[in-house]
Amino acid sequence: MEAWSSLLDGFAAAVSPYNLLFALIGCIAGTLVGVLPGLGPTAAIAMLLPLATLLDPAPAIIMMAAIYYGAMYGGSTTSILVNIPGEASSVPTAMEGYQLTMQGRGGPALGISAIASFVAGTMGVIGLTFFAPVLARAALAFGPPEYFALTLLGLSLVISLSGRELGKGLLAALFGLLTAMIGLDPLTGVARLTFGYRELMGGVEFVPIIMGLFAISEILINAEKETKYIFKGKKVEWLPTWQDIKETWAATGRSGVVGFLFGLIPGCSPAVTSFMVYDMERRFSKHPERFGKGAMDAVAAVEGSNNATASGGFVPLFAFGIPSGPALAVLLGGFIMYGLQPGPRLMQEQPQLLWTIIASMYVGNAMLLVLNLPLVGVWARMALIPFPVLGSFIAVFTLIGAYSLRHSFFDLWMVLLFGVVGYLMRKLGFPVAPMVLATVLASLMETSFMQSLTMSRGSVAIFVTRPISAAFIILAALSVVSGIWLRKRAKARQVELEESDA
Amino acid sequence: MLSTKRSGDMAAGVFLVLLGAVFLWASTGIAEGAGGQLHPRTFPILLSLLLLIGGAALFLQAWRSGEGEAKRIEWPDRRGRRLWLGALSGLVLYVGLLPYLGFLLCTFLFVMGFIRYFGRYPLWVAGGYALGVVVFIYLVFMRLLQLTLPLGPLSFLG
Repeated sequence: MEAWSSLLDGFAAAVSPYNLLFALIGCIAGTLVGVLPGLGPTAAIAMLLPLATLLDPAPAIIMMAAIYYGAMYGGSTTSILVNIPGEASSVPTAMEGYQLTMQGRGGPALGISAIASFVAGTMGVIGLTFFAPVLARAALAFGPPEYFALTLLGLSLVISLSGRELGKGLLAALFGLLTAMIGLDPLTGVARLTFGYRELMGGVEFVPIIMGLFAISEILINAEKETKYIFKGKKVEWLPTWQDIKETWAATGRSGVVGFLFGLIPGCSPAVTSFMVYDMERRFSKHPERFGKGAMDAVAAVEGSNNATASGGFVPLFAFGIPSGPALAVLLGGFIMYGLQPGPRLMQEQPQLLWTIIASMYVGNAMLLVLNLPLVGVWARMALIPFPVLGSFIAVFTLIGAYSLRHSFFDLWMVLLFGVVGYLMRKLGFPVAPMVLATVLASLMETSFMQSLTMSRGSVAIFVTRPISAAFIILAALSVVSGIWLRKRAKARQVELEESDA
Repeated sequence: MLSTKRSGDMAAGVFLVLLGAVFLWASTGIAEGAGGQLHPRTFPILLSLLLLIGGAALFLQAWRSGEGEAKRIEWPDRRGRRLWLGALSGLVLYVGLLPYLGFLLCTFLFVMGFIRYFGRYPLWVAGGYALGVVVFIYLVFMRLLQLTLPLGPLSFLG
């Protein structure tokens, strides 16, 4: 009851013209940043922080928050249309959405992505509104053993992501894990696998790896085929049909819940949630064979979970002042700039401010839907741009995005290197997704494992004596067993079909 | 050469064995850090070994199995190889010249060259597209988003 009245008060402040204006600026800036590959919400929030100092706290933080969840909307655009996932969490979207673009259904995919983002994002904000204090306490129970067990659960997805080539998928994951080890050891600072090269001391960032594996390899594949157009038809569909919405609403709902819950966990990479939701939908689907060939419900699930995760990330920030990721860490800096420390005290001393921000997130989600849905058709027509033009643009924006991370030319060379690696992987039948997932999880896995052993003075029993950790390990084991069983079943069906055709 | 899935898998297996061996060798040289329950080389050694063993397993499986012989890998033909090399060379030149000519000039040259090479568009059309991209980068990335990009001889625009 108290939450309702506080929320209504928050709405009264959030819909003031001044606050609405800055919510709109944040939504547009966030979407733009999300569309441009490589430039994440962290950089965008950091860039606009100086402007924020000219504003009052409420509009400033409303704007920065809008940039954060706006970037989630924008990230799907390049993933779906040109196979450039700007963040690891958009990789499953690229895997399915780009296939839809090549079928002339890029517009519906973008539309479903926007609708799912709105629905699941709003679900996340509802969770933030009513369940924040209780869930935040649960999130604090996560320590290094739980994080390690979570990464094991994430890695167990390699089995389903490998498709028919399990062995090659595991090898790709191993390669990804090893690549992530290059650089300085996160705990001791010792140089590893640098081969004496100073440039490798900083490690290999995963964004250049993703851009190389997806965008550059796609350019190379299309170059050798002398592709004239990515989409060979003449007519692209603009908007999703009611049938599309009907087929994806369940996936959207599930992704909203799962995304929000995982977003509560500080430090849990959104990529883990994306892949987990992708795998979950494949298992729930009555036609899992569609996955990898353009499954609309997969796009809805992944994009919905991204936005729900963004909302969930605000829970530990508001409840305890703990940012769950780099972008929210910069946002925390925004609070501190005004002399505000998010946490229980801020909730007591300045409840109006917090509820205004939460209310603005409802408004912001609606704004993003209104902004993005009409543009879907415009974006979708990118598929009609001749490849010689589109390919050059993709290459340029990919490389600028990679450069923007660390202002390093080394990262650009990594993009090209992994572009060739991605090309060869596709030719030789190695699935790319397991490598991406492993690269993202490697650092957290190793760090949390080492920290856990320090906590337990070297005993591995810590992973099974703590209930949440044990639960994740059991889930990981079940995921592996069920993944192998599902593969065997699919293979047996395939053999049956081949025998009946013969 | 490497025209079938079988030969491709065998080659990939050999490559991964060698890669695993190189990483293993590099891992043994990792120094000991201060503190921590495990040596920093633990994970790299373990993963390198697994990669080496996995690569060997892939090679052996492909060598023994005859079914990969029927599946062909779709390598490009001679023209396709030329185009592939053209694309890669263009990208390498683009990145290689960036520190000297800057993003704007290199982008202009790369986009114009790419469109001419793959699309056979007239020079003025390719130049127009290239100029449009350069203007977009300057206005959106550098002015609006305040991204610092090296500009080479055009540093006066920064």
